[in-house]
Order: sequence, then C-alpha cells, then structure tokens
Amino acid sequence: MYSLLLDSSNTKLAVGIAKDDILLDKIYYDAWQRQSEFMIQEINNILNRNKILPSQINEIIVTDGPGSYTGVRISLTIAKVVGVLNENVKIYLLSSLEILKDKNNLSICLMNARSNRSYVGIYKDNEVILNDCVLENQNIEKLIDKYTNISICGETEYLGLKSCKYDIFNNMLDIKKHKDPVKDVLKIKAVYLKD
Amino acid sequence: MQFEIKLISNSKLDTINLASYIAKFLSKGSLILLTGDLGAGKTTFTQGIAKGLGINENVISPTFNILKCYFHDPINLYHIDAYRLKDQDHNIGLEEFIEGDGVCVIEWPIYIKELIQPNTYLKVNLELILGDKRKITISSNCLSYKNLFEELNKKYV
Ligand SMILES: Nc1ncnc2c1ncn2[C@@H]1O[C@H](COP(=O)(O)OP(=O)(O)O)[C@@H](O)[C@H]1O
Ligand SMILES: [Mg+2]
Repeated sequence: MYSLLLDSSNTKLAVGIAKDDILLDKIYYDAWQRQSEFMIQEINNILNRNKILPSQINEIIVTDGPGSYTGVRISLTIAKVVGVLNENVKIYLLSSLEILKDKNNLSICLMNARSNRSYVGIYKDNEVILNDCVLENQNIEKLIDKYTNISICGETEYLGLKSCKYDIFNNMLDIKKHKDPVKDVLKIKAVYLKD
Repeated sequence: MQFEIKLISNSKLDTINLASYIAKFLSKGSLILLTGDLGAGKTTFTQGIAKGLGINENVISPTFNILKCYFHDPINLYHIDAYRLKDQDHNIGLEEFIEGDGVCVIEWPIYIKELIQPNTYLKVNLELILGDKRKITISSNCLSYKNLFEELNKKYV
C-alpha cells in the first residue's frame, strides 16, 4: 500500500512517499509562495525515482491548514482532484500545525500568521491540548510559560524562539494512523482560521 | 510624518530614475505605498523600483490579477494593486506578501488599509500637474529611512 504525503502550508514544499506506513523517500525544501510551480513536478519526480506508478497510490495524506493562504490550497487541491477522479484513493486531512510536533513531548506548534499574530496548536501524543487557533504574538510567551517542559515547534524565528527538531513526514504517517479518511471528498476545504 | 520631501518629475524617465534610486535603500520586508490618481505614475514608479532591484522582467500593472510576484535574488518584488479590492473580501493572504521576504509595493493601499501596520512604510504620493509633470511627495515615519531622506535632500533639493 502506497501513501503520498503532501504539505505546502508554510515556507516548505514537502512531498513524501511511504509503503505500508514506512517512509520510502522525501523531497523537502524552501519554496515560499512558489510551491505551485514545483509541487506537481516533484510528485512526478518522487514517483519516478521510486518506480511507482500514479495508479499505485492508495492514499494521500495532506495538510488542510492553517497556514499560507495559497500554500495550503496547493497540496489540498491536488489531493482533492485525485480523490474526486479516483474514489479508491483515500484522503487523510491533517493539521499543518500538528505535523510540526515533537513526537515525544508536549508540543506547542507555531506558525507566523502575520499582523503580529500566530497560528497555535498544542499537542501531546495523539491528544489535542489546544485546538488550532490564532493568537496575538504577545500572548504566546505567557502561554508557553503555563507549561513546564514543552517543546516549541515550527519556524519560530519571527518570535525570537528556538524550535526543537521535528520530522513532519514520520509525524504525518503516525498521525494518520489515528484518523479516518475523508468521507466526502467534494467537501474538502482549507482551514483558514482568520475568517 | 517624521520625514518628508517634495520633488518634481518632468518625465516618465525622471520618475523611473527616482524610484530606481530609492530601491537601493530598500530591503527584505520594505513596504511602499503608492497613492495618486489613475495615470499619475504609480505603476511607472514600480517599474523604477524593479529596475533598481535588478529585475529585468517587464513590470505590468497587476490591476486585474491584484498581485504580481517578481522572484529575484537577492530580493523579491511583490506588486499589489488593490483597486479591485474595494468593498471586497480581503482575506486572500496578501499579508504574507506585505509582511514578507521581499519588497512590497502597493497601489491603492486605501482599499486594504486593515492589512497595513502603522508606521511600517514609505509613502509616495504622485500628483498630476500638467502634461508630463508630476509632483512627488515621499514621506515616512520609519527611522530606517533617515539615510534615504538625507541622500534625497542632497541629490534633489
Ligand atoms: N513624469 C511622469 N512620471 C510618470 N509617468 C509619466 C510621467 N509623464 C508621463 N507619464 C505617463 O503617465 C502614465 C502613468 O501611468 P501609470 O504608471 O500606469 O499610472 P498609475 O499606475 O498611477 O495609474 C504612463 O503612460 C507614463 O508614460
Ligand atoms: Mg497602476
């Protein structure tokens, strides 16, 4: 069983391929606001170099936000189109914050939402401690201080915070195991918490 | 405004040269608001900024697409024309470019003013006088532009 992993919700372009929930290969680089130019090509590249046909993909694991307005929609649109055209492909939607978590610890996952705000979610193991939301940056440190021993995860330079290391690909595979596939692919919609 | 200078441009080339000169003082995250009537020279001014940043691509008005990106090393240019966003939903992610990793130039900023943080920008107002003559008023509250205004004063006044 092959899974295609996609994320373009922030500055990175992430494409992964897994077999029976084991990661086989990944492509991961900075492509801020340019994921639309490269994503399809990279999917093609990863399939080719692993000698996998598009028709062999059984499921797509993809983030649906929050994050970059256009970025989130790139991976999500690709997944949705595939899901609509082939109902045998299962689609799993994951939080773009949760995939940043430190798997072994309580994690506060952060992303720049601009205008002095951040997207924030707090996760522990497979439990959601704080649902993904938008918070003023000035409140983030207070929030962090409420917890002892919490991992800070994400591209947090804009907050002057140092992030721990995280592995989005293995996180995606792990989180998926606790999820159900989307029932109605046509209803897939980006999570845009600012609305 | 903390800094202000008024200049006269007598031709399209004058405006392009001025903008191109100003571009040397810009850096990642710089925000420039362009105001003035249709035909005043806002897009022309942006062409000058592109030139000053070393972008060879032809800069065209993004009135219909709202945003045009010019990806270029070491610094990208994002050109927004908010004219069509009057009375529209502004939740389309423009803040990612306004507070982004390049120079962002906005025509008709009045229509997206809730996306613009106070005291973060250089403002350029272009005013039609007669024929090819334009009055250009450049102003800012950002201390980071002190050097620019000193140099403009030396060069043009
Ligand atoms: N001094 C000047 N500065 C800028 N543009 C000028 C000047 N004189 C004439 N023009 C012409 O005026 C027009 C300005 O158009 P444009 O830059 O698209 O305006 P806007 O974006 O403000 O609507 C161009 O056709 C340009 O050639
Ligand atoms: Mg214009």
